[in-house]
Amino acid sequence: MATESYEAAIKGLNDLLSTKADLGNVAAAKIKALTAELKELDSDNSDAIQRIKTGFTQFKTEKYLKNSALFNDLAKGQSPKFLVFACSDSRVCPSHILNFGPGEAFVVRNIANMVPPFDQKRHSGVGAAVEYAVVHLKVENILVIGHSCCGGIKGLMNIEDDAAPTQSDFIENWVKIGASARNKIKEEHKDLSYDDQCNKCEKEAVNVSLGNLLSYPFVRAAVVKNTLAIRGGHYNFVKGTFDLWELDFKTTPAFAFS
Amino acid sequence: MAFTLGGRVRRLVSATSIHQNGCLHKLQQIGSDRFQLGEAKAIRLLPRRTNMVQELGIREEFMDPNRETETSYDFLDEMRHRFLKFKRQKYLPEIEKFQALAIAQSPKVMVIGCADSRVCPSYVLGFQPGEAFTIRNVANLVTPVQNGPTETNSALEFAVTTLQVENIIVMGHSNCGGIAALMSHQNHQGQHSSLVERWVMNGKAAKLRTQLASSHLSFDEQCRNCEKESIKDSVMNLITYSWIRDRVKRGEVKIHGCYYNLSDCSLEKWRLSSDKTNYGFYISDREIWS
Repeated sequence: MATESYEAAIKGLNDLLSTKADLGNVAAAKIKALTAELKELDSDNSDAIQRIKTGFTQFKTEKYLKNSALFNDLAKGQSPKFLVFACSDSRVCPSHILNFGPGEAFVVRNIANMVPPFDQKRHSGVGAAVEYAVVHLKVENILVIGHSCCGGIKGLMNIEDDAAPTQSDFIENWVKIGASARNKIKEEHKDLSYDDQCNKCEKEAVNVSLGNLLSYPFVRAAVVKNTLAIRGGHYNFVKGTFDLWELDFKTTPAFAFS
Repeated sequence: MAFTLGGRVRRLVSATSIHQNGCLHKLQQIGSDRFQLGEAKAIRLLPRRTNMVQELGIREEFMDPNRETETSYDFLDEMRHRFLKFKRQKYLPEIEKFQALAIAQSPKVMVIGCADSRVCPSYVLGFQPGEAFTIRNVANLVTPVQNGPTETNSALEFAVTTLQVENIIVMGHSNCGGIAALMSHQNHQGQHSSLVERWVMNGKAAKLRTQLASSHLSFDEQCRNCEKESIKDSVMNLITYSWIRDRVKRGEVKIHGCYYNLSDCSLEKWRLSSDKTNYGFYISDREIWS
């Protein structure tokens, strides 16, 4: 058994150290390192890893192997019809709440599902995703989905004023993209409770993101050509509801003065 | 050119008509900048996806309420159907769990995955609502702290410092369009012409290593290698953030990389180990699940 060989090894070590006591420190250091190593190896079979192993196996047996035609096609390429912006919150995965299957939606997830305005230099991560989806994949719909109890929006509402020094390294700078939403809610709904204000801000921040999408030239071109639709959504998991609205983008007819 | 674009599907008009007095008039161009209103025709508005406007006869016929409407793709209907399926099959059967989640989330795992439609981490790794805080960007890249703020590192900060996740998984995949763009991008010195190129160049180090080691392989095989090298780089970049590094050293956070191969449905997995003797970190313990 394992313990027998372990006992024998320990005995051998003890015998050695009884004759060479000065090796004691060396032995102690090595045993500490060994213990740590074994601890790490053991913890790799931690809950999380077991969880994803089970999850992956279930995915393979229940979905991949049962739909081999679909997955063979997908292995060659993707042609999703949707670009979805959703929050990184663990409770709002679009694959669950809107039942998107593999190949259906190109999904970007970040804090508070924000889309920053078009910038050649900053925020290239989101810019790259929008460009790839609209120009290369030619998606037909963009959906920005906010949700209830959003920590990012709470953080945005809690920022005292725009000039205050940031408390965190990156989070505040990121959620400040929605600053105009916060300002609007604070002005127009002063009388509402904090929770109600946050709820309104979640939806208003989606509108800010929708507006920012139009600052991307390729998005504007596709919307004008009518090959792309932009919509906002809000998932309320407290009530179990989903709101959906459209961006009404209008230029009126020009009157020619001559 | 004058046009009216209605956001709602039902009010869509074509580029050569205007809506006036309850009916649509064709705008006829009679000079370089002159238009006049032509005859009124009722037109049927088809939804955005088909991008067509079909003329269906005179106004009286169109306004007839008994007229049969053709079935057409209805976006609102599709979304409603999708959400209600989730509600029926998942939300209502597990309502207590969702109510508890509504109060607070406490995921143990954070996943950084690719935005690719085929590799949703919840779908492939089986995460249920509440289990995994998920970041998805093009080519699942994590930039080092010295490159400044990105959407990804702000989410990292929230997950590690506020939610206190215990595991971070960087999940890459085969046939990644972002990595293919990285590998085929020629001009490193000059102006990056597109946003995609600017972003994927964050994986430059992985590309150089791949080209050094496997320039004899086909472009596709090189891309496969680069995808894996990029995951390893992203994992190592996580450690550049002090609040992650400290927690890894204290054993509070474990970092893993994994590579999902779409063609054969296999998952290759690595672990980030810390070298206690010289406070370094290295990638180890490669496993393959298939």
